[in-house]
Amino acid sequence: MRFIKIAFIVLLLVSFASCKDAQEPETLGYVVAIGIDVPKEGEEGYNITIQFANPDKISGGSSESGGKGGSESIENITVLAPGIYPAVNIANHIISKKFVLSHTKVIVFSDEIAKRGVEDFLESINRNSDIRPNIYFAVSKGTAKEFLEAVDPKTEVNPVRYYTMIFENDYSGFIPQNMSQDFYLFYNSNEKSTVMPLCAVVSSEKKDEFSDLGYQYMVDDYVAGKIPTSNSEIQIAGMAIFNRDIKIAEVGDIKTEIFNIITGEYQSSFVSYYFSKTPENPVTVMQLQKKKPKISVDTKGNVPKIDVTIYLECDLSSGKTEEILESELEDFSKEAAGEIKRQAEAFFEETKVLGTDVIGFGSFAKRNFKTRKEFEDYNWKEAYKNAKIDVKVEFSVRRTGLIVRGEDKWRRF
Amino acid sequence: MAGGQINVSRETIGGKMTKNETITEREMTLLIANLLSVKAIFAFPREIFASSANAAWIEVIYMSLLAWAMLELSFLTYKISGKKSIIDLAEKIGKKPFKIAVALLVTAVLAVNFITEVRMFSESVKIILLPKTDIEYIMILLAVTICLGQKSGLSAAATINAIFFPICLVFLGFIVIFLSKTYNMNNLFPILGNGTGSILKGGIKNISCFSDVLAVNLLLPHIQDISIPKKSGRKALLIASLTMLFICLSYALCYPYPWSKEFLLPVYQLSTRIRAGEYFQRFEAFFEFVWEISQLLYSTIYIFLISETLAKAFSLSDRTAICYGVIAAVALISIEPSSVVTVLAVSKIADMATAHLAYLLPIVIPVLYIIKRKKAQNS
Repeated sequence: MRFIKIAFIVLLLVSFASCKDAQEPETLGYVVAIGIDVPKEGEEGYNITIQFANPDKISGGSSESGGKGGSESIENITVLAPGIYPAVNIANHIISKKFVLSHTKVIVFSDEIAKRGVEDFLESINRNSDIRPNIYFAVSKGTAKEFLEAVDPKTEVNPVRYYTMIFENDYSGFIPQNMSQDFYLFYNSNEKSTVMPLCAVVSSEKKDEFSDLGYQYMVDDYVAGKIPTSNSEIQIAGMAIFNRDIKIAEVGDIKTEIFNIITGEYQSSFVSYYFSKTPENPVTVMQLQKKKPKISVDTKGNVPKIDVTIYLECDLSSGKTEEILESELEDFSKEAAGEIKRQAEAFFEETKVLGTDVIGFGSFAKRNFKTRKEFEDYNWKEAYKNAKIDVKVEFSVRRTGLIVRGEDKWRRF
Repeated sequence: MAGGQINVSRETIGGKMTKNETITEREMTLLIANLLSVKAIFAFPREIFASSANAAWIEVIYMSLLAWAMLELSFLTYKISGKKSIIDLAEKIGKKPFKIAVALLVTAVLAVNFITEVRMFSESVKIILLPKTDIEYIMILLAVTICLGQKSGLSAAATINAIFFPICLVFLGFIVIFLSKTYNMNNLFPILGNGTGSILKGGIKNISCFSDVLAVNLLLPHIQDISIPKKSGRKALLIASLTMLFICLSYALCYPYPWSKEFLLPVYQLSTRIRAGEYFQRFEAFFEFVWEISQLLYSTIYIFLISETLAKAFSLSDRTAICYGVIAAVALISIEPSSVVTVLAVSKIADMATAHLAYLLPIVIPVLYIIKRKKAQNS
């Protein structure tokens, strides 16, 4: 009897260890990014590029110097398949690893795919527990394959961290903060339209004239691939606007920052402002959004009335030495607030013309209705096209850095 | 025995099990609270969202009030019926045949709840944790674990439950708190969701969520003080209602309707969204811990209740044999439906057919007993 008891305990211990599902790390291929392109003419399905981590290069393998990072830390394989999982299945037969999607950080759709609609992929991403909900979607200006092949995480050993740092950068507003699950939850919604970040391989065509915007003065409203740079093959900036699952427009990095400010996802960044007293020199501030914007929507009349109050504060970072005086900070604040208001209004006009409420004012409009049916009958998407939007900006310069210049105007003369 | 203690005596079941098992009032409260909360931790919020949309939290409050009213009604009969369970009372009302009929009805109510729960639990383990392992193997492991739980007895299960269930509640609390960054208040509007009609109808339909309050009555013969089940029942229902309310509120705040009615495991889905800083992301491991422990304890208690009901019905001296038989039967029946979709459909129909009995039986049977007693006194 004692022997039977011991045998039973041993059997239980072995059984509960779940060895059948055990997977050795060296047998796995960790997919970090997936690119989806249209196939060549005459081919069916999609060209799916699987970018996977090369653990030996990340860890340094047997070398004593540690991981190398850069383009060596990742490998790419492209297969023709009808979807993401069939592509993984094919790739499993080509590469001597079993691909897992638990560390996937970004899925890149080519511009052409985005214009056709991405709905086919949303289902497979959300139905499976191995892909996490907090990955990023992006639209590539060229093909997704070109973009992924150009990725070279020079400053990071771990490619997953590279993507995390790029897409979740708290110090930049040029990329929309919109995770995959938010896209999935709202792409088919009647209260909000969705967006995706734009990414591209750096293009040789570059604009050399600056925009005349007073917000991010002397910085152009670039989309990814067009930012003048010398040390990067890829760029992520600006955003694609979607109507349901179809890309209908794109906006540049400055408007994306305005979008982030209005949605309240913006955190902080350096912003250069036009100041009428120093028209030749922008005043640069470290801008912070300490409080989410206050949004209210009134649906009583024929057209909805939307009130948006934006709360921003900044620390003075640089300006023309002889012109920036503490007594003029109030004027500067007013001008800066006026500039943000102008940009926000321009952004709203653009979205109204497109018929896409990317901010999600519809979600606030829902508060005025008692039942879902009442809200559905109101037809928010149509109503938004005629909405009257009033923007208020509360902007203040909180700190002036390590210099406090009083009323002394001697340097002006 | 000191006040606040419940005496679970195996003598009442039969001569073979002579050992007395006592569980404290706290253990009793947490035992019932676990039975009532497992569905909330598991898949039930989806059903509530399907009927009331984003107003699910209002439906939960309504359901809780309904369940509480039913529980209070059943408490009213305790003065006359005393510490007798509905099985004991059925014997007094209509002798053995009526006792067997009521016991079979109670078994059906419990089994319907339990069979679908066992299958869905095993399926979810396969989806989330063990994709390569056969479902049959997972079910065998679950059955073995329940058998071990049975071998330890109700007292041990209640003690373990009293240790782990508060821990589970703490982890659930962490999930709710860590998600606060993701909450979107707009998801709660329009405030009445699909309308008051849907909330009222849905509440009556979904009251099955708390149908395990039947266990309060089934454990009556084992108590010394009649005030204990009243206190424990109320406290347990309050804990379960708050658990369900917080889960539904968090879920509504994170997932807008109609997506909120689509996810199979709402709490798991919530746990995947937690991100505390850059490194602490895979919070679902905590969910799995909470979920498995509470499910295993739930199963152990459930098998105890079913086997004890059957043992009483057929006046069997030893419930051990029944217990293992019930476990085998539950495992075999629950594996029968070919897909999860069938299980969910069957569970819905079975729930509608039997859940209300769980509330009605502890009221109707004592009332019948009281009427019969009064008639006898008058004659």
